[in-house]
Amino acid sequence: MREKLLPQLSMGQGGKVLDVSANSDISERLIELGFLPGNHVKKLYGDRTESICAYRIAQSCIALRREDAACVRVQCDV
Amino acid sequence: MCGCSVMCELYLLAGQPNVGKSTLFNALTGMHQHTGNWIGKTVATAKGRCRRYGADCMLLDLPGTYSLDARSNEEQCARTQILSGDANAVIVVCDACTPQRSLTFVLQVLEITSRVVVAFNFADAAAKRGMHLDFDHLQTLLGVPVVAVHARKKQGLEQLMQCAKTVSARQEADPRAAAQMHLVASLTGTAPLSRALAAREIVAKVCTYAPMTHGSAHADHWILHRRWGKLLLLVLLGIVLMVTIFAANYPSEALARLFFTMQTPFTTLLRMLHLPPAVIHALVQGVYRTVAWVLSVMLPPMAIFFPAFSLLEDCGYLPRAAFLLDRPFARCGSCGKQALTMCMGLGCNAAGVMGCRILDSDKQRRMAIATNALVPCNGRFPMLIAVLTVFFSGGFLGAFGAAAMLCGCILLSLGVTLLSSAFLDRTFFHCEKTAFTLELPPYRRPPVLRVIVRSFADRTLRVAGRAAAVAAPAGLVLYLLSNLRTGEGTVLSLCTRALDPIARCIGLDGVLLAAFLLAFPANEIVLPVALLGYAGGGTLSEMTSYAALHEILVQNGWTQETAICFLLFALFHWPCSTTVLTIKKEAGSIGWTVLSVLLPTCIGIALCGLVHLVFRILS
Repeated sequence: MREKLLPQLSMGQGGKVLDVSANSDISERLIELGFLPGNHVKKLYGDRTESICAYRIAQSCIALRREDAACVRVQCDV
Repeated sequence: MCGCSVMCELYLLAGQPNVGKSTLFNALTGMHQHTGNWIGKTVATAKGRCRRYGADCMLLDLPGTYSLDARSNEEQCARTQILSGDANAVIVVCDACTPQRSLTFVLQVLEITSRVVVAFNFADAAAKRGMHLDFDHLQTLLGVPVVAVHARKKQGLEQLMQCAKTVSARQEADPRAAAQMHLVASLTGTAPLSRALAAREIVAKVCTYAPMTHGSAHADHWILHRRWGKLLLLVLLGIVLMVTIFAANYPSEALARLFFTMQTPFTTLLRMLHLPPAVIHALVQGVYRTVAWVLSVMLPPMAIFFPAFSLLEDCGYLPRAAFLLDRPFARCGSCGKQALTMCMGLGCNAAGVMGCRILDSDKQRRMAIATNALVPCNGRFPMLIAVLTVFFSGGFLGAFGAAAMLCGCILLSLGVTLLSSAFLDRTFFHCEKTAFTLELPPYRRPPVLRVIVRSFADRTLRVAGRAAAVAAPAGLVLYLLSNLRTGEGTVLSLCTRALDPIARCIGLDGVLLAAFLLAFPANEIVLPVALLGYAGGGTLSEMTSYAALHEILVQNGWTQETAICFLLFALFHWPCSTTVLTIKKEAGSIGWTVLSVLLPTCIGIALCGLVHLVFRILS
């Protein structure tokens, strides 16, 4: 049961959202998109350097850049 | 539009991006707003009257927004409309596949007004994914009517309009059932987090679903592949361009021949109207031939390109392209969504500039506006195709060579866009960081036949109509310019002679530069103007084949160098008048408009000068 930041998940790995750091201008947008504490998130696709990755969250597929995704903390699935 | 706006009820269509608001709007009004399977397709509000499904009302289609917090211009616009209280009811369109997010938005609208109808679209798609929503229960929880609709199949619309009529009769102060009011109030806070949590709680009560794999997961494995994704993007672009070039040649020539044979009956008709011979000559040689030229060169490529592009946009590929292209754009201080505005620019730069509203940050928006004219629009496309076909389709590669070069032109304009974005980022914005989110919607099978018919009827014919409307007066002006004689020749030849020394420095000639200047109202007429200038005799020669075009150009001193410089200058020069006006409106500053005109012009002059220099050193 390890905690990680969202971009640190390996490809295909899932986890439960713990919190979204509030001190970022994107945090409200992330919450609207479904990054709520308790929701399940899964890393789906990324480009070669994983500078942008697509995540499955609340039945939709959202692409985020590494620095924006870093304000989401997740608890990895076992 | 509606003479009885006082008596008509006004309903707003609000909702998150890509939930099908425009499709619903079209179904209700019978209009043909463009729809597409991607976020931000609708950037401006559309208004229409609905006289179907037992209703008579005005509908306003708002741009899709994730919330009403007024962070971006569109959110501000949607919020103002809902807050203004002009509307009798707000129809909130929801995607049944993403109920949690949709309900967050519904709750936010409910904080403002209680005259709300919730319309759930894509319920069938949700059912396919094993999700079931209990709409009756939801209706009790929310205290407003909830209707399941199928916008594309036009199902549930009568009930929707009925409900809208019912809620519009509600007084704003008139409370909903007290208990429900209490429930919503207790669940909802004003902060986004508590609102979203409340939405999740409601979903947990009304939604049952069997966990299933996402439908598009398998396709995305290849389309978003870290290695093959970009290659696939390139191949798709190549296919679309190749099909356009191959298939456009023959209809183009046939159309030209048709117009040529129609010229005699047209002249006879004018004679029957007893017009003076000079006027008839001006109308036939000036107006008719210019319009015929523009249409026969323009119509076929557009009739193929637009439907092909519409199909890609309807199935949901475009956001994937934005995803694949994000990294290079991010390096230049922009984001992948700029690629979407560039795609719109391929259709029309003015539309592309307007499409820049989908970019969230002001910085990215202004950068995208200034660089949009670097993408060749449909007015410039045909002349690229014509010159490429004439000069570069020889050899064993044939039309493949021309298609590859056209693909190269697009990639060049992509590269130049990236470089100039990076330049703007460093000079004007000091590399300021901006956040970026992009939704990848599920793939949806487009209604192929309908897309083809509609994109031909709405886009192709409208664009061609606009081109013809500009070409007709321009043809007359050109006819006058090339027939009014002063001591030393026609007015046109005087102009071209004066421009010649400047134009030679960038590998063009006076006629071509004059043509580009005169084509400021519409890029479509560059080639006809140039041919008129070459002809000198005051009439536009009939263009019945590409071979004839080649002959005329070579006779007037065109070489490979001229062709390359022409292509470069066609790609990079000042935007047309419509685009300039749109830029001024969208950027809201004269300085930025001037920059947007100077940027492509300077790039074009620099590149052409470079090519000219290289050719001079080589020879």
